[in-house]
Amino acid sequence: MKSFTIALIGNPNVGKSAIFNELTGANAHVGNWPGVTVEKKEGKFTYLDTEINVVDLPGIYSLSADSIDERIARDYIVKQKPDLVVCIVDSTNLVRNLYLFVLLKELGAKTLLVLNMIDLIENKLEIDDVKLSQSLKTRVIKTSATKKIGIGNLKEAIFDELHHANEELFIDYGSDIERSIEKIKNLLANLDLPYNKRFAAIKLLEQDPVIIEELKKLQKDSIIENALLEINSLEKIYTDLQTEIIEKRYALIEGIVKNTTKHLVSIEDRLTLSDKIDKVVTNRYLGIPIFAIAMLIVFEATFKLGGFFADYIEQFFGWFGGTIAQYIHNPILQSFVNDGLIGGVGTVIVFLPNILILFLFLSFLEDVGYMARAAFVMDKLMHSIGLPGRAFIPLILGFGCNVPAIMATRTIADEKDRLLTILINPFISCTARLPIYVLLTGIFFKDKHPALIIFSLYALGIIVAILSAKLFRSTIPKLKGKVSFLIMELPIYRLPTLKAVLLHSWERTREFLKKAGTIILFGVILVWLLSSLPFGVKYASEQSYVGVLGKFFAPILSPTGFGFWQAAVALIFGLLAKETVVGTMGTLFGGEDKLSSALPQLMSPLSAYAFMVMSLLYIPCLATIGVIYRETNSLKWTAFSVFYSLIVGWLSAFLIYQIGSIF
Amino acid sequence: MSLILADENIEYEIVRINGGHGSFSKFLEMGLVPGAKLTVVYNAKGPIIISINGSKYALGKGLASKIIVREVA
Repeated sequence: MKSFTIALIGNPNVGKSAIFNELTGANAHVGNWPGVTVEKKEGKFTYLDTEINVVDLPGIYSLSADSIDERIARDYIVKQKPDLVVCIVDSTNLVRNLYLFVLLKELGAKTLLVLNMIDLIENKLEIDDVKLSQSLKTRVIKTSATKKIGIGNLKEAIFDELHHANEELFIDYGSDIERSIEKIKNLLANLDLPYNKRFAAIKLLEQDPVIIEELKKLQKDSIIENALLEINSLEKIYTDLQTEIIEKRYALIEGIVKNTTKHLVSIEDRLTLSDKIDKVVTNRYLGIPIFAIAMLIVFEATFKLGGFFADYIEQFFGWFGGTIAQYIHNPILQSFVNDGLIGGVGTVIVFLPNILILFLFLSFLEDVGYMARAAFVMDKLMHSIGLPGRAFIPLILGFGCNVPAIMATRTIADEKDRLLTILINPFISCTARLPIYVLLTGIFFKDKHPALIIFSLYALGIIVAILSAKLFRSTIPKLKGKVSFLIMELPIYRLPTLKAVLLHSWERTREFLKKAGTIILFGVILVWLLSSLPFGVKYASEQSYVGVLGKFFAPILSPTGFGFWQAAVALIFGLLAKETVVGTMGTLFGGEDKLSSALPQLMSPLSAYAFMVMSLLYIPCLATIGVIYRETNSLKWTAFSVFYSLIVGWLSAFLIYQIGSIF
Repeated sequence: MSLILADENIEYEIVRINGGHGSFSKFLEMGLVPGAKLTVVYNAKGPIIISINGSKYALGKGLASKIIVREVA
């Protein structure tokens, strides 16, 4: 069978992921965050006798090399040379979307243009696709991924285009600039560069850092100098050459769009509903309260609804454990299943409904388009703590899981802002910590506003993150400097399909289940083993290895109010994954049902709260530490993050317990 | 005048972006080029929301102050 590779590319929020899903049948997520597709996603489909591999590139606006996403996309096209680049554009916003397309043409990629969201312009805008196709020198296909329109045509067109030659699109930059392009192009003529020579010449005039770097590697500094001379002479004519070049591209696009489209209603009518909603949710006075209320509702629902289902799961495990015990007579095996598996993993699984519900709400807010508004509302506040508004997106994602949240910082172009956002992210309370809160508030604060207690922990996480950001910004030399400017697209509100939201939250919940089956399972088995050894000791007693380990560390925790050895053990194993804190407790005390009677003898509500604070703030889990290292590429910053959070966690728990004890 | 002084719901044209020399190429590439027409959807006297070519952007105060616009007659 013949095999080809195509790449999907497009601006953020054009429905690229949805097209990818329709083409490949894979389950991927449709989101509204700029840069949600950071990871490389691949799939394939078969058309006639041909296998077509599809690579999903990050959502980007241009091909300059100043963000990681753009660099990934450009490198992929230039170096991997896909057989076809399918550029997906939002039909409601042709001008800006076509900018990327024009750059792809300039880069020399073989293209296919997909006008997506075609259903949204029905009766509003008419696009003459034949004329558009002629002007842009490309085949044009109209689709709507959500309404499943035009997918068959798209597959057919992809197949056809694989067998057609590429047609070039020439952008005339005017005689002066063209003369310089020609000169540089000649200098590049004999070089072994992966780029189209004209593209490289234009990018040199735009002072593209990556191409300059590559020329330096080839020891062709003379070409760079020549390009600088050209820039200097051109800037005698144009005050700002880069602006001029970008403007020329936009002028071409605007001309083409004007000639190929017809507005049936005015633009104003199209935006009204979104505008009306924005007037309220981004209002100077209402914005932040609305955001806070929205979050409070989310936590209330997570706690109440989740608790309802959790009770049943708990009952199931109780019954399951009892039934199993009847069939297993070997005491060691019985202890392993009941104390280890059911007590440990079961205790964590009980919180599955809470996590699913939290993700459902977060996915909904994200897919609707509200999260970008939340980032806007918080911009002023973010600036006052020394972060750009854009950094708010990864912080909110941190409520789900810190790992993807830290990866999402890649959309922050400024290196300092990015590092700072990474360092404070672990303080944002992820869902893995939720089981700890739900368990302890359920035991200690059942009748004392449990949702409010949980909310306060989330708030504390945010406060610690903010104060840390301020502290780092003003004390660490590498992080000092100005906050970068905010520019962020606010996608038009759209009601996500139920399927998309369910899929999105399921994908994340699946990660939780996977963790329960792997790292948490490993953790509880380890705890169980250490609790049973050395041979002959009473299970999970002070004489077991785990008791010895816990007792060694417990004195350090005494001033924080939870100086009993089981707490120390739980915290140590919580490093594997924060859910393991609960799993370990379950294993040590013999199941979730026994915790509610055992814990109140060891803790007061105050020390339980201090324990939750410690769990929130102390050392990030292994996966987070791993991703911090990968994203900062620095052992120093990773170690800094670990020690800083440990100190902050202990100090906060200490202060809360000691000050609380006075009253 | 600077974009931060702009009124809501009036169409403006971008004259230039101060600071120049490519320091704002990102914004230029998103369509904020001289000559482009925009409407201020919401001016919070800090960050600002504009609508340009049918899509909306949130701009920080720092950037908004650098964008020079004039009213479209």
